[in-house]
Amino acid sequence: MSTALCLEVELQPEWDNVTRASEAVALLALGSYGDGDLRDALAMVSGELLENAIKYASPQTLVKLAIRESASAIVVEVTNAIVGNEEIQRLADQLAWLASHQDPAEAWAAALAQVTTERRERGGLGILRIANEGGSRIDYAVPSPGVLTVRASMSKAPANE
Amino acid sequence: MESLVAGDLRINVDDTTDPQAIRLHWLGMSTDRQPEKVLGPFFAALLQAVADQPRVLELHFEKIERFNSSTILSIIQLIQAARNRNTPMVVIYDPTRKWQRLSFDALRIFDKRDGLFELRPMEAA
Repeated sequence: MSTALCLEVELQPEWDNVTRASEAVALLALGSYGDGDLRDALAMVSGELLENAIKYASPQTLVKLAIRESASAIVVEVTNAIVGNEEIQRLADQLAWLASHQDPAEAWAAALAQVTTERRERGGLGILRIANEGGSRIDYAVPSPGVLTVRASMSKAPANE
Repeated sequence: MESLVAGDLRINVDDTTDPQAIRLHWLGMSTDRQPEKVLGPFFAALLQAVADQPRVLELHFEKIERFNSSTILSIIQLIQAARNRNTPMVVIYDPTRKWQRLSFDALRIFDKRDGLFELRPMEAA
């Protein structure tokens, strides 16, 4: 019998905590879903969201990781303090890029092609990877001034492949 | 050529099994914030080795647990550098693992049908 996955943790914005947290997520997911694609996807999504948060978060503030499961979906949510609107704009640009393509796989391939021609800044692949490889719908919210929450929702039903 | 160990990542170099190839077996996790700092010099040494003695580069990802998107950028840089030197490269991955299939399938854009880059799903055991 599987158990619903539920996690909420606050982390110091240190890079080593990305690996620690995504490993913890992988371990928890192993208990809930076994050693399969969903476990890999959850660990990847958690890692990429945390990487973004730690890269761009306001220093000296905690980063919050929450994972919640409903009957149909699993939501990975990362919340961090931000300085100014730069991070929000970056995220909005990445989501607009994603929406401008037929599907996440096409957006991912197009981004990789741009990387090779230096027409794309080195960052920004994480969000596209979450959409493509993680099969996730991504959105964000500003729950209070100076705070950003990024959510990745993945369906528990088998994704189109 | 020496194998690489960096944090949770290990790349075992096998340059003796096949005289026509240098095989890199990626193991563990590549989650460094700036993986190019470690991988860049390692790849440079690798490309020098194949310049001295022309061989195919085989990158084996079947056993790697996980890598971050920054690592993908480093891999793409190696693909480009190898192509610029006319060094043939083969990337082997495990298509039964969904994350590998989705990550690596996109690298087909580097297959120009000129024999310099091949993406090869691992054959079923």
